[in-house]
Amino acid sequence: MTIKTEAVQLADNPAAFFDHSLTQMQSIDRKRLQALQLEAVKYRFGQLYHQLPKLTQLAEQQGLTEVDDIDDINRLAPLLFEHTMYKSYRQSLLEKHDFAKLNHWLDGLTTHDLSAYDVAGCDSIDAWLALMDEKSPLLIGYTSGTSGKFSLLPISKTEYRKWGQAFRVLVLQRFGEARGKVKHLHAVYPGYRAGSSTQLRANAAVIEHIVGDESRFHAAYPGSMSADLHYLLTRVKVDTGYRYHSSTSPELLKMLERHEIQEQRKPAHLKAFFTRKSKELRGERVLIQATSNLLYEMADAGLRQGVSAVFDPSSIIVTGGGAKGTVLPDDWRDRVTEFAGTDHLQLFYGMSEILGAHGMCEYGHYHVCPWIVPFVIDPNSGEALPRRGVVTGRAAFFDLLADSHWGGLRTGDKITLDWDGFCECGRQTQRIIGGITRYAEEEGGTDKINCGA
Amino acid sequence: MSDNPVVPLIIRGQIFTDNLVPMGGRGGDLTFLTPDVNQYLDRLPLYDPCALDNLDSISYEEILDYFVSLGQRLDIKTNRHMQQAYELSCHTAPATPAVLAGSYASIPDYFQRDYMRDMVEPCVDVAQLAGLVDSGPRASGRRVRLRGYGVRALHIIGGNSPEGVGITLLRSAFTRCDSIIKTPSNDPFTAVAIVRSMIDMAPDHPITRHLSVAYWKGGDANFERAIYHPDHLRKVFAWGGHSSVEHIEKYIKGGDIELVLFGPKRSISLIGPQVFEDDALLQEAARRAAFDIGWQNQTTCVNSRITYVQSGTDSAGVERANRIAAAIYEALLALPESVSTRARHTSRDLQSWLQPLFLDDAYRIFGCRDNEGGIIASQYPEPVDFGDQLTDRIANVVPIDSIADMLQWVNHKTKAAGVFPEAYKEEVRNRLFRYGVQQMFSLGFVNNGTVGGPQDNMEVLRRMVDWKMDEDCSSLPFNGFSPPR
Repeated sequence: MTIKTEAVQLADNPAAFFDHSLTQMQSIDRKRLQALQLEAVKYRFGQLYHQLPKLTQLAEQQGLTEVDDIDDINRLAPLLFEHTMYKSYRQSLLEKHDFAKLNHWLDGLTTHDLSAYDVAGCDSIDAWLALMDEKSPLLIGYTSGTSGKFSLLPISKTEYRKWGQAFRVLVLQRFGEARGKVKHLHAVYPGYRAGSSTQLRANAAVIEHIVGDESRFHAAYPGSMSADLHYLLTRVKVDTGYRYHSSTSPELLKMLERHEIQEQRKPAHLKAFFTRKSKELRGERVLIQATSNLLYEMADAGLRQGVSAVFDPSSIIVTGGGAKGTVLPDDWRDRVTEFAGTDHLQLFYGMSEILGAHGMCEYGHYHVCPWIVPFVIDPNSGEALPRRGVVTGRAAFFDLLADSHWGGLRTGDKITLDWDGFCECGRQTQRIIGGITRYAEEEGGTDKINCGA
Repeated sequence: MSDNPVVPLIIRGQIFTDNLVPMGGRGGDLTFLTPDVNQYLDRLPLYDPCALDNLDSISYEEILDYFVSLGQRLDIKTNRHMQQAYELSCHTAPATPAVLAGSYASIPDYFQRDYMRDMVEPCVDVAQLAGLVDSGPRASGRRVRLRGYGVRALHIIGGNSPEGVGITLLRSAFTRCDSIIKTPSNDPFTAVAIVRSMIDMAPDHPITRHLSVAYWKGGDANFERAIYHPDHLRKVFAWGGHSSVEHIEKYIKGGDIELVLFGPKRSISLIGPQVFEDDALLQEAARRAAFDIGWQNQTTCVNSRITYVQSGTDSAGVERANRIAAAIYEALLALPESVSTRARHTSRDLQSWLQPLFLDDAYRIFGCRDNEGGIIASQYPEPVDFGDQLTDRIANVVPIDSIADMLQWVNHKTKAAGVFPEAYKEEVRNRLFRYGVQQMFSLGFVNNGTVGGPQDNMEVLRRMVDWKMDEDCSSLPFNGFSPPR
């Protein structure tokens, strides 16, 4: 098999390429992986260049129009989309529910033709997304940032399926261990069961690829989170008066008021939820996905009541950190694992735009998924920094799995990447040294005062 | 650490350079050393309010004289404090060295007699700042005497432009306040340089003796709990809006200390349809608009971010707006170095918003590629969604059919509107003021605002003092012993 054929296989189905094995994903020879990634990047560029209008334009502006121009991975850096690309639509279109124009805008970002869908009758964001879910090949996901503007991501059902297969490997397996027999697993999730945010869309993947059955997915809020409500919440967050905006319908305002009451009750509700689930699922194998502060609260409450080792020892706890301003005690992980009765606690670094999750090893470093090609960008010039040594800068990634949207993304995260070193943990992939920060926080948080900022 | 510059702490004429601690230095910024303010808590606050009495002995004219003399000493060519501050600010200020040099060169202008008189006299009766003034007998027969008393104040100043220091010093002196100036990490130098020049000039003068300049990291709980105390602080004036006071609000809640917030604000320009009748007029509008965008590299709140052009919004109208956008871009590039330069590097946040715009036919982009600044010309009657982040002389030109189209984007955060031609003001003034614009000027005069005028919708000089009243009721019969009816 030629390296080109292999590269196509890596990109088109990473889970299958590594025989659905985490150990294989993380043991691939580094030189070989680099060669595969270069070929795979060229494959994706060649495939998508003419099909994604925004990419075509960007490539032409950058004078990079031939696959063979990409003789080095860093040559791709000018073609990585800024994370703002996915919120570059006019906000007024979302507010006026002009979904035909939003579809037209999304058409620039996906290979699928969205012009045929009649969305003129959709009178809410939820209605639009439901129609597109049903009729189009996409599952348009949104993320709410701090800016008050949604990112809208045109991820296809096929891409989600391939990501689900890979996610299953990342979540269920531990590096260095052979794949064991898969025992039934229950997922315990302290949020909504459903919704169109990329975060909630992942629940469907957990059900399909990890727990296998809807009945084994336990959400604290069994319903669906409305995108319209979510949108209103993000706007109200940056502008408290927004709730009285003319586009806020009375029904939505009622929804907002109900949500606010629910939020007030949330700490008590989640506490009761975890207590109930730790009784119902006692001794079962569970997957708990939650922020670290929620996990800690759950564990602390249980341990105080003398409850520990609640679940099957093969249970899995997944967290992305996100203590949300609260400072956890140094031993929070030990407390969580003691309560849960499993030492399988996995931290991931990832982002909604990228279909991958970089798992933290026991040495505190995030190991890059082999189908995600990392870049470190000079935060000032925007140029890619050399791929050698230990380099700090803006994180950017190219997601090889993406086959109907462009996988290249520049994030707002500040990372330190070790290009050449090998981790003591034994994984062969490159590592992101722990301690990721956001550039935006760094720029705002230094006691700099401006009259115009 | 020995190479790091020392920023002294100044307390009422005394200069301290001991108990040094390192400050700043995040994100590649300059690290500087400054005394640990916690060691000076016994003397930084003015514990006795009657210590302000010595300011009553100086007249308004003497205050003017003091600052005229000071202004003559602030020439950066000869004043070593100003030279040092300038050199250090080049490492921390958002503006480029050339623009900063222009700003520093203009600092003495603030201390010209006419300028100061314009700032004070239209706003407040100067006699009422110096002592009780009898306002004559009231209809009821009582006599009322009023005075605006200077107070013990703390100013959290901005670091984006050195002029803010001059304004703060003048306001403090004319209102006979005792002021502690808390400097920001993006300019801990300018205020110290000017106040040191005051000490060199008149070390024992009451004006010099009622100014303190300190840097501490906002959020230093031990210190801030002590300094923000109503027993020795009456008012806090904070530039930069909510973010600059987030961590102190818990100490001043309940109104025991009066908090006055300035900004943060954004400004706009409006160009009337008249300019399309005459190309010379259009070119003039573009030059004026470019100046208001580019002055000081768009680091201040009066700089224009969005230029609304009443060009019409059909395709011919949008083309007209594009024509003026192109002319503004050309004029931006032609601005002299002391007014505006290319940015060291365009703001990262803004850069990331720009990339998608280049791929979107909803915008035409002039420049914006190489840190030189530029114009984003909207091809539909809406400003960009990230207008608040426009900086480094990148602005947005928006075509409109009528002024009613743009009012939805005007609110209390819209500081100033530069308008051209003058006659166009008649059409727009009332609605802009009603919707929130605070001040209006002739396009192209961004650097010539009247500092004496209102700021953030308030008359600051009047707000800086406590208004006291002495009622003389001696001509009225005393009936306090009458039983209640």
